[in-house]
Amino acid sequence: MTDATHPVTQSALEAFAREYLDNLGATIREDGNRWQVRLPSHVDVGFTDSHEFDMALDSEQEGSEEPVHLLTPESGFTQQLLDEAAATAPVGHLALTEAVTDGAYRYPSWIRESDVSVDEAAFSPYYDRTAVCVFVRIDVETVSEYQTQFLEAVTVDVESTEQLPNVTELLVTEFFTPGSEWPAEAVEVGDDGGEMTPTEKLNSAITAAQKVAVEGVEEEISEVRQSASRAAESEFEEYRQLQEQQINELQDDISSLSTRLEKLSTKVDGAESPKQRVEALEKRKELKTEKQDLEDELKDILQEKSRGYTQRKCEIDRRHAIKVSTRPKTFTIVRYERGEITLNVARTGQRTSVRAPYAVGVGVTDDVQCENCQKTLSSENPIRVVSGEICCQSC
Amino acid sequence: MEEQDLVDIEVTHDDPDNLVDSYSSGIADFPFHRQTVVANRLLAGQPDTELRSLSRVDEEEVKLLEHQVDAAHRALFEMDGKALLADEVGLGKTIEVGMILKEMHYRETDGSVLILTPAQLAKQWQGELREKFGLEFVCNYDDEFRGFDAHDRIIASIDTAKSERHRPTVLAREWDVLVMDEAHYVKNEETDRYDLIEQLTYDYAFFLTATPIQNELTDLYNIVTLLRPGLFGSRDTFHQYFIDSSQDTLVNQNELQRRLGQVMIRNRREDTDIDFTDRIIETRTFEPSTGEKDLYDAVTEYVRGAYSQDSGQKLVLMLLQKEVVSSPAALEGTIRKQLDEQHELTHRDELETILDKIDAIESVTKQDRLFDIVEEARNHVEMGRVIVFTQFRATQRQVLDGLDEQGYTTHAFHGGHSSQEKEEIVDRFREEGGVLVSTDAMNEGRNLQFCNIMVNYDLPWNPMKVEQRIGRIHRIGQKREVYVFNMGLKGTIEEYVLDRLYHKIDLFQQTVGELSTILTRMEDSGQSFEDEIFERLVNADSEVDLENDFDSMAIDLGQQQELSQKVKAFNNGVFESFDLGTDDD
Repeated sequence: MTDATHPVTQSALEAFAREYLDNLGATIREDGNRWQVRLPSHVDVGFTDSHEFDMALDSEQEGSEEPVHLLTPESGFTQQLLDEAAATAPVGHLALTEAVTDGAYRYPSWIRESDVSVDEAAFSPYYDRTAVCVFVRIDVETVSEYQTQFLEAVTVDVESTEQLPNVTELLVTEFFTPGSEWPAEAVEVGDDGGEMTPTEKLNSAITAAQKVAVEGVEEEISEVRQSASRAAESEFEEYRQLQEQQINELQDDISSLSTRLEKLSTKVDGAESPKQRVEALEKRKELKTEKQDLEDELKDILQEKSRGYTQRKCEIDRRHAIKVSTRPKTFTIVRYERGEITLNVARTGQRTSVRAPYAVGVGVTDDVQCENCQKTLSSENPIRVVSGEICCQSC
Repeated sequence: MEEQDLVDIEVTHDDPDNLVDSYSSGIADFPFHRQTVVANRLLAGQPDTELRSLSRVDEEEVKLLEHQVDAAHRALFEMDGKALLADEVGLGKTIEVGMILKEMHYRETDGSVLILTPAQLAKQWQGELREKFGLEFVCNYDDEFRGFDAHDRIIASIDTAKSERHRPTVLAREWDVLVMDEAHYVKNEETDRYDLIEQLTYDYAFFLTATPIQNELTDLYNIVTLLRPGLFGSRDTFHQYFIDSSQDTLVNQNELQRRLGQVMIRNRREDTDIDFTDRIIETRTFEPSTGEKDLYDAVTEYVRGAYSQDSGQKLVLMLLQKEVVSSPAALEGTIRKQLDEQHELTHRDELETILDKIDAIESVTKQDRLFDIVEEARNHVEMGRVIVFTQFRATQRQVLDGLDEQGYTTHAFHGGHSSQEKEEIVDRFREEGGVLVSTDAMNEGRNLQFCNIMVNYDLPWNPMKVEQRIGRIHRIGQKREVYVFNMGLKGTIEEYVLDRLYHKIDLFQQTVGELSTILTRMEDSGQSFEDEIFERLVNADSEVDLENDFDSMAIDLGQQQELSQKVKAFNNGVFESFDLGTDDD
């Protein structure tokens, strides 16, 4: 997965708007910080009512007499424009062929880390495979922090749901390089007579990608979790202190009520008239009830305390729990070729060749064993050429 | 935090059904799809007008104030990273730049940074950026400094940068960020300094000054033009448009302010909510013992005599004159060194007599009187925290020994400690309280606001140093009144410096930083404060002479002060109601 979030700078925004309007067939007359835009009459857009409008690139232009749309990172117009564009074409397709990678091969680590040099490489395609590159939006929410958002790009093979990080990298660069154009190549899909990828398979591949995307932001989520936990802890501590205070207050109140009750008992005993005695008795009853209530309350709190306020702690923790949700925003169907790569390698004048399963844009797809000792080749166990034969470091 | 103490995480994955449905209903052309992906990316991104490193600033080290955060934000996002930070003195312009640099570091837009400062402030900048923002810079005074092409983050004195030796390498680089402290140093377009800045290549620049206009409006033109060439047009246009030459007054002030608003940020003290606590100064002068008086007279006489014969020895002689009022221990070290190092010393006898006089001193008056102050503090102040400043290590040792004997908790701080050790010492002082005896090595951006009593055991002859000492405790964040005790021996140079000069310019009550403007003016006219004092001391024929000399120096200082106040008033006039806050809504 690749982090695809990107700060919304003014220049990024302008580059996007220029290209987007251009795709819509608009003409733009740029005059310093002001653009005069004219959309073709057949184009209907939601971000503006008129086919001719002005756009200002800084807020200073906003106050002018003529109505103007403000294209700045935080403006409402920008939000509208992006919202509309973000929903326009969420599904795309492309083919990853040698033409796209421009004949540049990705050598495996057991070549890169070895002493041999590659004289020549040739790829023989055997069959096509389909992958999806999914842009997944991840929202991380908790009560104590602002919502955190991420956009992760993940590519998985539709059949095997195996991750293809190199393809993601290639695509992300492609997507976000302004003005770059993917080499046009017909991709046969659906109506064109090609095979549609079954939707169930797409569904499970995309879901797999969503799961992988979360792994990509694990560290960030862990940071949020730590701080949410600290917030929960301090809330609990506050509660605990409040209860301690409450206990003290209740104990004080109870003790003061006891004193008053004692005094009242004396008053009852020494009452000068029956009326006074009745009044004192009534008051005593009232205070006794009050004292009993407070004692009950204290008992409850003390009980809760002896259990470590677990119920409250659970409630607080639950409230501070982190909610991570993922939503696939776009996906691109990627047709890529799998086959075999033949690498002609050389070392101090000795030449030989080695073959490995390979896919365009992906690189070597499977483990390769040393022909001599059958050990798996890796960056730690790179190949060697001895007497014109391939062997490995372990041989 | 342990795993079991962490709150739960609940992960939900939205069903991709809707998205897959759009696949079934048709696939858009790639350029449109690409636009959709980009739009999603922009929607997920935060608007890039936030100080994203803000949460990474250690609040223990620096308490950011609203106007500072606001200034950093505006400089970065509204002024495209080219700004003149012209807050009034004492409002924390260094903090604003620290915040800016921190943010740029966070965004990785600070590949190479050059900070140019007046020589005496370079180390202080280095300390502050390190302590407060965790930013490491190499200073041209560091041993590891290998030239302007050898490091990516450099703090240097502007004069070193413009020197013949370094100028070519400074100019050969393309700097990402240039910071220029005391930008009024480049107010004059005919100087080498101006020329250097004009020729430097950089992407972002932040200039700092409290007085963008030192003498005339052209100063402002020059500084701003370095930052934003063309903002004011040509020099002539600027003059014609903004200055009424017949009256020499300002015209079109609103337009001037509007244009300045694109590049300059000026916060004024009254607009911020900073509340500086009171500073209470108590100067205690003591009658020296007969032995001390004897020693002082002998040293002064020796210094005068030796200087009249060989003015090349000035530095050593000046040192002796300072040490004699600091402590006999400090003096003894230098005298012995002189005797050991120079066998053919012409004044051997005099120096040996001085040593005898040092030996004759039984108790050190200042040391005894210091106990009164720390004892008062122990009884009245939280954890009895007091900072005692001295210029000399030998005095520091003597003071520490004395305090230890009396059973006080003590801490020593000097330039010999590593930064890690310095940090630990300050931490211990905070936790254990007691007395911190420090040399002037403390002047490195350290926050000691948890202490509010300081003692000037001896006095530097450079008012900036005195102010820097006070500034360690009397700064933004200090919540209590600050007590400054000055100790001096009667009838000595110390008394003159204290009474005639420092009190005359009201040094101890100057608003933080205001002094630097006065001194910059003095230094501009080629005078060094320390030299002035020394010359007056050695050249006076009599005590009356000496008094008169110091009085006249005080008058000079007073004039500089008046001038600096006028400049301040003029600046305020130009920038009156300089409200540059732009409202986002």
